[in-house]
Amino acid sequence: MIPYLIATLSVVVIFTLAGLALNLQWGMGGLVNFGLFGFYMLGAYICGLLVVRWGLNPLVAMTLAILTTAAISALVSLISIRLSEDYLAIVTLGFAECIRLFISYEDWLTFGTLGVSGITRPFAGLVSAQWSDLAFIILAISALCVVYVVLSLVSASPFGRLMRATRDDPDIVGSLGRSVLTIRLRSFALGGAILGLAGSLHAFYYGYIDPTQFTPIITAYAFMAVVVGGRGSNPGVLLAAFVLVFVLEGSRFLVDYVPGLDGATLASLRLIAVGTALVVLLIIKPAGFGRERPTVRAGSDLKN
Amino acid sequence: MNMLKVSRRALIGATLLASLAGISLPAVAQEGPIKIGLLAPFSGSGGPYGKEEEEAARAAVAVINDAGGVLGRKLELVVADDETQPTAGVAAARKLIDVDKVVSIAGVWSSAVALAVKPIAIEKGVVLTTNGSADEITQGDNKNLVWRFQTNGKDWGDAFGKAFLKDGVKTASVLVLQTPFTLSTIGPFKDTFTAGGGKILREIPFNPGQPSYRVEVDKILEGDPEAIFVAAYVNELSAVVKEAYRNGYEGKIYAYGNAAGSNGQFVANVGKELAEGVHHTQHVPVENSEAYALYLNRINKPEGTVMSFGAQVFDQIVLTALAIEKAGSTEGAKVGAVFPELVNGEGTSIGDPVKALEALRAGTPFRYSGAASDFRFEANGDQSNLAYGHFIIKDGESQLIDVIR
Repeated sequence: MIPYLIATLSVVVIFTLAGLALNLQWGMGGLVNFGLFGFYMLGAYICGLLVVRWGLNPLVAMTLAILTTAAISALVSLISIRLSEDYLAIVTLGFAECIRLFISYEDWLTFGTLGVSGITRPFAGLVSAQWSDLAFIILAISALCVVYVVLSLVSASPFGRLMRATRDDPDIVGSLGRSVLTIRLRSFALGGAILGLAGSLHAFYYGYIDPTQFTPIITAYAFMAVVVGGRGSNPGVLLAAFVLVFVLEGSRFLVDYVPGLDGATLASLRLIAVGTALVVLLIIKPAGFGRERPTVRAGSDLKN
Repeated sequence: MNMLKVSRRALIGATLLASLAGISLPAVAQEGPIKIGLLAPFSGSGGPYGKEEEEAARAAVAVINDAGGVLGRKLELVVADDETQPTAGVAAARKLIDVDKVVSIAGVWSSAVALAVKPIAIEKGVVLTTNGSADEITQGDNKNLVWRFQTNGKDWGDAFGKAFLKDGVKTASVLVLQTPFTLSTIGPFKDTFTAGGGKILREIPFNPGQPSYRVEVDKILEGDPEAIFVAAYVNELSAVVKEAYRNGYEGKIYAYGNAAGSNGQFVANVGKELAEGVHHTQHVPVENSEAYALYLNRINKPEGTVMSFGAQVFDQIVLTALAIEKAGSTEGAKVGAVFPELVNGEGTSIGDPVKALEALRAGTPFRYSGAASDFRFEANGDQSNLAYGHFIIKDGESQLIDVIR
């Protein structure tokens, strides 16, 4: 059981990172990123290919993947940033599909639909295979802690206030002499960096990546985490990711205890149950688990 | 209000306690049944084949259990859905391995899922028996744990080339679904076909799950090829055949047996009229296979039904059971190591799993002759000695017209 819990926790951590990235971009910044899975895929592929094709140290590959994904995120947001929210959503979705098609067809670089196998994890030489999952989860949780602290600081910082202000009314921010473009660019790039990290961890965890692993469902899960968690609330996203993976994975056990039905029916019922659970969750908690920290509290003075 | 709060908290507490109790149960009892995992595609692009796999696995387990099980213990099948998706497949496989403690995982259908699950199976010493065709699955050091119960893509592609040439086809175009399996058959097909004097007019790749295949079908019919090879599974094949019919295409259509033949699904999708004359090839038992007849009988299907994935899963479970008995152990590495001896041996060929078990216990030399084909194993885990049936659909039924070697 313990190895299974460690494995599942790895999924939770990766899932949380994607949720936190979206919470920054959409939750705080108001930038609808439907193409989240494309950036995530980009991170996974850059990291995986650098390790497998060019034999880079996994940690170096991860760092490069984070930086490149951040840079590309910034560029994509530049193309689309003059467009208002809905258009940005379409552009990011289109970008993500382009990435997926590029990776599927350009097999001289990406191995195409065959996928990249044999991606070694960081510290693979230092720990034996038996402890590999444990070493990975320690790395993943440390990475999550760093991201969480950085995001909490950003959220409480003047820049966090600016982000929320551009989300609520970009015109006012502009009229106060702030450049809405750079604020959005920076939040998109920071989100992209986190997605690059999440993608790299995905590549390390599975050790094998192929285009079928990266579908819009990743975007959907990230949105679920943010919606269930409460838009703008990082602790909420953390809790929501746990709950969502618990529902997704826990339902695998549920089917063991339903007698008299065959596997095909149970598999379909399981997917229906997951959907129902999420709907029920949102009926019980329409605003999500968490709440965004108010920038200014009633009764406090405004010196801060 | 306060009441509600307390009751909700109590509810959450109770749920947590219940889940903790659930996970702290002893995961395995040493003397209970021997657990065999089935990781089948019940949803996603492999969805049409999940049920076929499960029926076959249950039939095989029933056959073995009716004969008293192995090592004096019954077999128990644990079924999981891989959603035809590598990440979901890994999550489901981890549950089978870490929680259910299965000896082997059977029925892995998608090559991509097989490639993703393979490293975990090897690390944990669990036997992995797969229906995936991608050549890469059996490459590398698999520690005798990975066995393919399917032709590899190379040999199947070659069989298609031979079928085209025998039918006198001179020009052909290829429509390829982008998956590791389909791609591994196309190269060898083209090599055989062009070496025999055939000419490939167009090769069009496409992605699964498109709302329409019109553009691809229009392109592939350019130059009026005598035959088209639709390298795809049943859902995409059905859509493409309908589209080609709308375009008035009169030439021959070739497809994989597991797409065009499997369990009549294709005929049900497109109707008898459109399915008429579609060619397909599939590796088959050479003579009448005892094991295949037994399998069809167990799942109440008439003689002559082509259900290749089911037959492969039947073989996977039977061979795993025989291997456990032969190895005298449920340890994956020991079980996997005896796989080749069971099918490559010198003794008489036995197709009935019960007789095979008896022969094993009596110590008489024998070899198991499978339901899906009379295969042998190569050292890397691939099957050899396969024969391919060339079928044509007539009035909604698949008819065997030739056997290609």
